[in-house]
Amino acid sequence: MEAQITRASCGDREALAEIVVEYYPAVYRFCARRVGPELGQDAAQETFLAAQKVLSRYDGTSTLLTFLLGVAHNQCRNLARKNRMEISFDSVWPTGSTEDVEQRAIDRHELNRALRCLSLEHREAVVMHEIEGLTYDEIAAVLKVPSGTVKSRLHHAFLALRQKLAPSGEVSE
Amino acid sequence: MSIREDLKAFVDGELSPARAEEVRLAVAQDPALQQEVQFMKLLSENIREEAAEPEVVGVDKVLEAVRNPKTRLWSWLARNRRIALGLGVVCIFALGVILWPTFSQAKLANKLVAVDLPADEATEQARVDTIKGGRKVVPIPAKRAPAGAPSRSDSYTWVLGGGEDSPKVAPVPQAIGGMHQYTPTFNIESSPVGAAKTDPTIESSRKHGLASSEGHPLNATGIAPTSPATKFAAPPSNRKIIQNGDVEVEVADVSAAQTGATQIATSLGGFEENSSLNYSEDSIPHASLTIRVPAHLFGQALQRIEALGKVKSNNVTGQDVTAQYADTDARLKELNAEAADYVTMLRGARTIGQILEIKDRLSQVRQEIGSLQEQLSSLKDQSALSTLNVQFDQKPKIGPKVPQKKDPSEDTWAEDTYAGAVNGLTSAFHFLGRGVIFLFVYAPIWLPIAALVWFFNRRKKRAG
Repeated sequence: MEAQITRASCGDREALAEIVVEYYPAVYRFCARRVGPELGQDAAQETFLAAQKVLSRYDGTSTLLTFLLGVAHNQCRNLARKNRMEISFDSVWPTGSTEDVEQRAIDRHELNRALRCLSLEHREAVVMHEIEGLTYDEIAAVLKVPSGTVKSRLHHAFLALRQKLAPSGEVSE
Repeated sequence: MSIREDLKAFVDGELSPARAEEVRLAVAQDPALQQEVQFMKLLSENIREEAAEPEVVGVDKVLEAVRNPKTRLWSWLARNRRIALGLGVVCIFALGVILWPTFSQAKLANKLVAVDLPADEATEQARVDTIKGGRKVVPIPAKRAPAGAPSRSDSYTWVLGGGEDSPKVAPVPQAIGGMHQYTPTFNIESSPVGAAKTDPTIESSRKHGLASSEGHPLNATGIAPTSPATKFAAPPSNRKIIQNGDVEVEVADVSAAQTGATQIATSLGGFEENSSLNYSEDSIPHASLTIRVPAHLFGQALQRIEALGKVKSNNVTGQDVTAQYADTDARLKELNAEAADYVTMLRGARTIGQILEIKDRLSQVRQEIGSLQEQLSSLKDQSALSTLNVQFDQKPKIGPKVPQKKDPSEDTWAEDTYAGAVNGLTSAFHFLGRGVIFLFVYAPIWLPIAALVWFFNRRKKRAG
């Protein structure tokens, strides 16, 4: 992949196309979770077009996916601002669409409600780690925050979820 | 840091080995922590299960866009920043080149207006100055003829300056703004600009017989400040020109100055036509008088009156009535001849009716002759004796201020503060207004730069 990166940064369109084929699904899902499926396509496209211009700055300290998600993160923010909308991750956990009667340890509706009560930063950290599978360092690289901040956000996010979902409601700090 | 705060990171395997071992031991000993770990794992699992997975679409569209990108101007400029920057600089330079003549002419016009040059002549002056090696002798109309003025009257004022290889000046009337300009018939010799700058007035006066009282230097445009005494010279003797001047002089003693002005008029063969003196406690003492002096000594009279004090303002105008004089004279001769004919006819008249009719005509002709003779006499008098209106203002005496005792009941600190605050606010608004105007006027320079900076910043942010 390094060869494609080098060629793409020099303006080789086929090399960039190979990168698109490889990383488009992850980038698209990342964008779609933030701005919805339709705008997600635009955001993903802009991500790769923008990535072509800034690939020369990629130094290999993180994975290319992390680098691309960092670009996608900015594209989503710009697109949301342009369309006067807020990134809410509402589409990540759809509500009321299933008739699942199976008894679970955690009620899904309660879980949805609890997740929606999280702050945007906490929700973002939960989505990136639990659903998109990024490590703390990768999340930190994408969001351009320290790794300790990511750890703290996840800790507090899960603490808040537990407070809302624990049957007894007794949660010790 | 407590064990609980690291519990999530422990579950995710994000702790260092040492810290992970520490947490693991703590969890093994504490059933509550074990329960929390179990709950976290269950929660993570449920979150993943509940999350909807977006169906991937649009990869073809992106591939198409990547392989065949649309070349947009902004995109191209963003990719070629150095070229964009160069183009921006070229645009600014071109704008400057285009706008420079406008700015320079406006600046020159301001300068010329500042030396009492008529504003509509400023552009003409700029045009004259741009001619390399061109003369710096620019006839300038001083005053428009009043609506009821006799026909064929020409007003003139002229300014002399240096010019390399100045040719001899011939009297060429020019029509500017509906009035005639008069160029004097005397010859103008070469007077290099550099030499003129050293002591232009004295040099110019010596060469052309011009009077000067203060030795005004030439300004950058090659035009001397318009002190009439320095720019005014006697017109040619074969022309009938009515000269008028207004001068305001600040003097130490208005009464003495008034007497001095009268003496000047008398010594030059003129006289004082009228005068007034105003001494009032409330205002500055003021005197005004009108003197008439022989036309050929007008410049000298003006110079000597200006020397009585500090000149505050002056204005000299001339009206060429040569043509009017000639017309009147010719008409007078015709009427004289006609009258003589009527006299001859009268002598040969046979009937009473003829005699009455001829007498009536003769009477009319003689009336016209009388009127024309009066006109000729008036023109001759006005052109022979120039009129100079002089205003003397007394210089305010500067002495130590006597502090006035303030009446405590008239303590006006509140009013003073209020007035000061209002003045300050007004000044602040003026300052802001000036700033806005400057920003607006200089927009062609800073706006493109700001736009470029903004554009590149935006691209940079978007690109992440």
